[in-house]
Amino acid sequence: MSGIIRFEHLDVVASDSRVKLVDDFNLEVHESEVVALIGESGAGKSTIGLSALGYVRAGCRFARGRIILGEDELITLSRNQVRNLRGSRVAYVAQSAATAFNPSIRIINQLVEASLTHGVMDKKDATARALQLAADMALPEPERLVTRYPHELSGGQLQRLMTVMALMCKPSLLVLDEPTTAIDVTTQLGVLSSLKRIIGKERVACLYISHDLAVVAQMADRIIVLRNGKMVEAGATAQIIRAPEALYSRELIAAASPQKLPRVQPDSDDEPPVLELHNVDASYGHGAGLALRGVSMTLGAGRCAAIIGESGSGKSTLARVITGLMPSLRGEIRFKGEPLKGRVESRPKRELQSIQLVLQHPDLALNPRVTIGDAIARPLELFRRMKGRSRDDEVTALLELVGLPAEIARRYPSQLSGGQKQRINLARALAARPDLIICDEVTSALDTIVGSQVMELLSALRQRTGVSCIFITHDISKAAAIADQIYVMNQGEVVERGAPDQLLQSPRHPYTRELLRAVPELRTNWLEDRVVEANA
Amino acid sequence: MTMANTSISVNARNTIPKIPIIILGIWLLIAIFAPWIAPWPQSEMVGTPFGPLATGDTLLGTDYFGRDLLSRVLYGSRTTLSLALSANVIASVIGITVGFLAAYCRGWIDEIISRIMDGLFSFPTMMFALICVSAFGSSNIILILTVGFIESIRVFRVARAVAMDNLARDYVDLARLRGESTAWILFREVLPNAYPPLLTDFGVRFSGTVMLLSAISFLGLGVQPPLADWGMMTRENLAGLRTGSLAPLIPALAIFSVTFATNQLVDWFLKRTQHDISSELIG
Repeated sequence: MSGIIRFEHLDVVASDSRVKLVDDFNLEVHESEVVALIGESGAGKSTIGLSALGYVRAGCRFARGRIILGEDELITLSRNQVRNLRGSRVAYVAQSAATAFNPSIRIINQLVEASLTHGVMDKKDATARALQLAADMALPEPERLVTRYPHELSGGQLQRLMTVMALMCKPSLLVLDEPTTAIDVTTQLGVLSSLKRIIGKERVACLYISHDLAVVAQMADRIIVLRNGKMVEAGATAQIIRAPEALYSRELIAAASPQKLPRVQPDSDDEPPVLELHNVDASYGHGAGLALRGVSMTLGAGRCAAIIGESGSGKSTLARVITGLMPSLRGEIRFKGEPLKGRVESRPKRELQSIQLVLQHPDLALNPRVTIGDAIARPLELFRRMKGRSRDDEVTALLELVGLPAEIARRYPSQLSGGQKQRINLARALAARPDLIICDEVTSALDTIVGSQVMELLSALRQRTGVSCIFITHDISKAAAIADQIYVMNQGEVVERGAPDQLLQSPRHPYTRELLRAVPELRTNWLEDRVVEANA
Repeated sequence: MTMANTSISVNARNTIPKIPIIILGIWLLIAIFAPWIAPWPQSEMVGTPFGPLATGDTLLGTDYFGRDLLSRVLYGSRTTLSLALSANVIASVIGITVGFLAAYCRGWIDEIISRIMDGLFSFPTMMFALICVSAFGSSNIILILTVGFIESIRVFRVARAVAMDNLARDYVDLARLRGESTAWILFREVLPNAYPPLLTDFGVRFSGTVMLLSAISFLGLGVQPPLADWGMMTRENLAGLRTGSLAPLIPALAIFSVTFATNQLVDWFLKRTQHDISSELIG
């Protein structure tokens, strides 16, 4: 049986720096086979995915090798020939469907566009096929849904419709580039199961690009592990998941299932709680509805509480309310027994010093025009009145604490990697010697392995400094790894709280159960089990 | 591929462009030493009106009044550069301060400032300038202040938009959490990141300022004759074009050279900072 697509010794280079983005890549994908490309950022997985459409990003070029789609060699084809292939014989599903649809054209017209352009079918047939595929993707009331505009639909619905759009011309190959990364876990479960069903039904070969091993384990027949443009390991899904051979694959698998980090025992339990919230409400403005609804929590000194929830659950709003960036509407926030003022501008310096915030995007949290050294020195000057030599020595000590060399102080943020920047953000927060540090999704913008290193660092820092911690995340396994208490948030409310073990083993609230059920497990057949469960 | 490597190589390739620096340097020297290098005083009649090039003592010919054009261009650099530059700087200082303040305060303060600026913006520029100059009298100081104020309305819009964008960044939130003052947030956190668009605006505005100044001078309310000013010289010698004199073109070329050099310099600066920003995004 001949392959659908074959890559032979493919090299893709960045034109200006001669860096190899893809280095000697070989792969053959057979009919109705799903091959996953996994790896961290910079692994070259998206570059390979796009090259299957005969496309390279601006500033890059094919340097060597061949890509053979059916009978055609993609790299040697003219622009018009490649254009005829795209959408008809090979189609692409992008990560963020919300931005991939044209906001001012009705869905149905976007769905049928490719098949009309390629002259594959007339408008009537195309509409019929679109509706059939939409029904196959388990979209409710397809006839009504497709007449709407993109902004009237949810992210999960758009992601499904994007798959419909890609399948319209019955392509032989589908490139799925992180198709569920931008959507919440509970939505992801449904999208994955309908995606899997339709791939089987349409008998289309797939290149499935993802960084999420647990998701890939459900979808793929084979897994290719990539790193810095090179193939590290290739094998059947079960083999890669259970018995990875290459060291890097083993690291990836280990980082994908976080182990419990050592607990920090506070000196004594007699100390008053660091933070107490009583029935806190918050809103983003008149008539905007409540972003927080009657939130109460208690955080003991030296303890770590995790807040989990999906996008829009109010978990980041909670961080903004505690820090005073956004005043609460009602309710009381007490810090070490004393009531906290609502607005950050009206809080005394002592309170500003005691509560520090670390944010999700390491690049956005550091001013690009301020050196690392100055960024860390600022809280030392403000809160601890340090000057000159002693301040510089403390900067060096803090850098050492987060595992970075002293000379990094002279650099600008753009010269650092994402993981290094997040370490700097932790160092800056610790420079104030806070009692409470709030970490808002600090690992979600980082690669898996780097993220788990930052988790370990945070745990070690808590051990050394005894700082209390609020760890906000959407990732239940990370919450369970670090926290003493987990708070589950949904639509601005805390629906359940409990110790990690108790919450994971016997969740009481229906939403917690749904959330736990939807988190992909790193084993094969997890998705099938869930589908069977749902049908039972 | 590491971040450090890419940004260093980008900076190395982006060396400061020589030609605009040389042009601006030469004009600066001329402006300082004009009385010593000019062959004639700027207001002395040395020949017949619109005398041709390179005849006798006048290298670039004479103007409509029979004055030495070369000397007037050299002297004119003093007036034009100092007036345009000061007006431009004043425009930037006022526009940026008010724009940043409006963006930072938001709410009703922003609303009031923005509506006033919108009102001023809708006023015809020339009429506005003439009213100011005729009300306060025509001296160089009034001229600078008037043009600076008019241009500041345009700076305000750019500055406010840029500040709005920058104030929404995470590091500004973190600065608020440290208890930093408003001045620190605006001038230490926001301003350094707002340079690229503001400097482009500054460069582009330079030629506009020269033109506005010359327009006012042409109507007799700006730079007072016999003082030389490039813009005024272009206009007062326009009649020479009919007889084939180059008199109006030479000061126009001088304006062009300065505008060109400023914009080249700004372009270079912009490209350099854009590289920094794009490499941040990749990281």
